[in-house]
Amino acid sequence: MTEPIVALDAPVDELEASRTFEVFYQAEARTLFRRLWLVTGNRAEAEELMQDAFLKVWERWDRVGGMDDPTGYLYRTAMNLFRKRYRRAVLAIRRTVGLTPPSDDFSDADDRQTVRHVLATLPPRQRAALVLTEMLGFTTKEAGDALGVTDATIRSLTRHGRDAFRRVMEVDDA
Amino acid sequence: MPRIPDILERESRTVDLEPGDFERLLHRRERKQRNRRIRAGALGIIVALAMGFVFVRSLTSAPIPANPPVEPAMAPLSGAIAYDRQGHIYVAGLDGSNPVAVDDVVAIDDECPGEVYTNNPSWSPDGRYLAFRRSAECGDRTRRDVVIADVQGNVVEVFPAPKLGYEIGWSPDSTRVAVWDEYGGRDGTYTIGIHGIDGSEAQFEMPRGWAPSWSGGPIWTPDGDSLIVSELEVPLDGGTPREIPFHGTFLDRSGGGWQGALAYSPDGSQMAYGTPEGLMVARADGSDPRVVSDDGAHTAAWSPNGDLIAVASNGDGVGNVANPENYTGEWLTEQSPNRLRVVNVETGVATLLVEGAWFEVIGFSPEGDRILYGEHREVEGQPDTWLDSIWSIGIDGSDARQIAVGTHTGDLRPAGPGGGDQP
Repeated sequence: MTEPIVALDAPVDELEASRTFEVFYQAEARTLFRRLWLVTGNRAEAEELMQDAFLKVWERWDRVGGMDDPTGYLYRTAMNLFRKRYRRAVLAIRRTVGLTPPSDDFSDADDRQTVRHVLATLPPRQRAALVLTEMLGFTTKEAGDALGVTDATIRSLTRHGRDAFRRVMEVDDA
Repeated sequence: MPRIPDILERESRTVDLEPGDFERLLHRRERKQRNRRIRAGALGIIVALAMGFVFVRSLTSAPIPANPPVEPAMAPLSGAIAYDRQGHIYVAGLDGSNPVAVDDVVAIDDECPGEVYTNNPSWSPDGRYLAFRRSAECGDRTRRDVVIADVQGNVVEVFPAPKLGYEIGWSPDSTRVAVWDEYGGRDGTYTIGIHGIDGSEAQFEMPRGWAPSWSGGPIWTPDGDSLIVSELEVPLDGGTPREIPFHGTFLDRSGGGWQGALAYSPDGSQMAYGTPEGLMVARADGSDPRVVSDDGAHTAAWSPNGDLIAVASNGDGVGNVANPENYTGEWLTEQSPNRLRVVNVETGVATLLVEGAWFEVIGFSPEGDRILYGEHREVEGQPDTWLDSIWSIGIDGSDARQIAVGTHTGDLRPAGPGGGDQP
């Protein structure tokens, strides 16, 4: 069990808000981390994104905590952070010579039949589109909003992702 | 037959958070809060640092000599625009003609046998010098420098720059440049190097909590007395630093973030900057601010006569989406500068020039009748395929011409007494 996240002499409302946030964190952290790992392919980056997303939610907890779907807000925040970080990284690589793309867990896959190998063949945006639409049930419009692209782009990204899986393993693509 | 969601779910269960994840979250939160407190309370420290800097400088610096005369005729680097493409800087005419590779002109005998790369070109305000970053492969290491060359291609100054990435800020009198000495995010202090074309050098340490801004290098105020660094104006004469209401980083209600532009007018009397309230214009000291346009600004440039401002922004033309007052409850994600407009400073009338890509304002032509900009555009029907290019367009939105492909950033050589020989 973790320590209280605010001092005991904090105002009652703040203490209560922090406790409810902690409950929310404990309920959602592991799943969000795993989803982000699928997107980034890197544990450290996934945890960093997860932390930043939770901190943003925490800063707005008085509003977010009262939402019907705070989890949806959390995932949109996380994907928004991923999108900005990914774009920054792409631009930095474009502008800066001598950089090589960071390796990820997926690139180490040596079994060509494994899921990790398939994931390694997908760009991060395709992974993100797959996670949002296939795992989280986002519509293409919602996924497009989260990733800052059109819903047509999401359909295309998802199709490429599905094709990659189909090429390597038998899947039910219904 | 398994379904893709099930496959992904199974695979994701092969990883888990390391124990202590919530404590790490708390520590991260504490670090952020501590940095904010340090930032708020650091003014006293920076005063001492600045005074020390001035004292040391008074003991060590020699007067900066006048710029050597430069003969502009036939100068190989006398083109109008510099841009870097695939690791090499080119200088070309306003229409993209006669591109000259800087690597072929500026020779440095550094005994490095490997490939040489150049990037981040920056013209001096008088148009006489081009500063840029250069890296050369030397066996198992890479030598990285900032180079200042004149338009003839002669090397005026070279100094080590450990990392690449940030822009080079010229002093208004074209005698010094300021660069971040480091690149990347970490705890601790960062230093800014101030290097003169006469070889003088000074290091300026920022207080803890002040890190390099994503928006680029330090910006000099028009009087050359201060540097704008993130949200702080730092006098170089030991005066009291102050937090500034311009050049901020802003969050919208949905968590999207963006950095406001900051551009001084050609005569140095005014500044334009982006805020959630819109494009602002104020006196150069920040006083008397007024909203010129309700669209924010990511990058901006003034026309030569100061009547117009070219702006890359992300608004919808009705109100800036980053402004909380315009927030309708809809989830907002797109904070990229996806519109390029030109705004009349006096009337606020805006003309949309182009939209639907990531835009960077590069500048106005010397006559003020055309605007140069870079765009990073996704190719229609080809997701994940992007085309970078630099364009020139009339200030009324007509006659767009592509002048370079494979790049979307660059620096326009200032026109004027020293730089007025543009083709």
